[in-house]
Amino acid sequence: MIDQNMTKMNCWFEEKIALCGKRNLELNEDGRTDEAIFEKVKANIYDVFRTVLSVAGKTGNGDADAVKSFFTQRAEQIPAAWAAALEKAKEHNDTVRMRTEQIKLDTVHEIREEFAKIWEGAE
Amino acid sequence: MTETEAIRLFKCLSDKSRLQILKSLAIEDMYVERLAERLGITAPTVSFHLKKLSDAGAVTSYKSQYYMMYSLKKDIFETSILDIIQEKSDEADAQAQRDALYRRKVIDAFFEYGKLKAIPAQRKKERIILDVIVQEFEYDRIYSEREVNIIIADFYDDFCTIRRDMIGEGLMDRDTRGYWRVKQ
Repeated sequence: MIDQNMTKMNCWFEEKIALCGKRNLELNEDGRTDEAIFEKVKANIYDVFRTVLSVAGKTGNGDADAVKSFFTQRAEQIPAAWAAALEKAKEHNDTVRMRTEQIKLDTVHEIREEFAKIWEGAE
Repeated sequence: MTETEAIRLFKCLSDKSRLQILKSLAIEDMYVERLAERLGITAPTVSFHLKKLSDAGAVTSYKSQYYMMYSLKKDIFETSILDIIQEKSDEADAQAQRDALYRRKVIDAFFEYGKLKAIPAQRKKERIILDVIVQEFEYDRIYSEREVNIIIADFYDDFCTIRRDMIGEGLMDRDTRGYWRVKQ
């Protein structure tokens, strides 16, 4: 079951990364360069957590709870710095930085939801 | 508008969404949600673009009841590209300093105790030494060829070459009356 979940989650990451790549190309072609960069930022976050999942899989060594625990823990730890950066940007009314940090946090939120959906669906 | 400001503005404008925002603001002042609705992008993305436009001096904002309204800074867009190009830049000052330094080096290398050591082979350098010699001629005065030769001879024995080259460089001119210094 754990292999099935890992495969589902990896497929989801790949789809999301491919979609970001497609949107990035479209937006660049349309001359919306900054929004194209937002897609790249999102793709990077998916890629980071795909790696985290891979490490979780190896560390968990077949134990679904261990994988879940490792992944959810990292999904809380990693964005902590982004949340802090977002708060700092808000303090300085830095809308440009706020947008980037918010995109990163929104993407992690989406990843956490999908992960929970797949893992809980299996339970 | 300084060179740095112009570069920031042009960079900022090279984005379709920001151009669309400016097009909307050219019609009327708008708030973030209204722009987001018109352009089909999220409000945070509109805020992001507005911040960049504001930093580039293209838009300004003011409070109206509950809304923060954004408006086009029309004076910026009334500036012609030619005005921007003709604006004196920091780089122009630095370039003038480099030119002055180079000129000083050439003069020091080719003049010794006020005498020209040799005519430089490079046209750019020769132009500099001719500029120095031509300073000895007054404006609005006609010189005979003999007077010209005597003045040049104080600098260099081959006054014929110098005299001819000063004419060729447009520093001096002549007609049947004689020679005179051209105003640059």
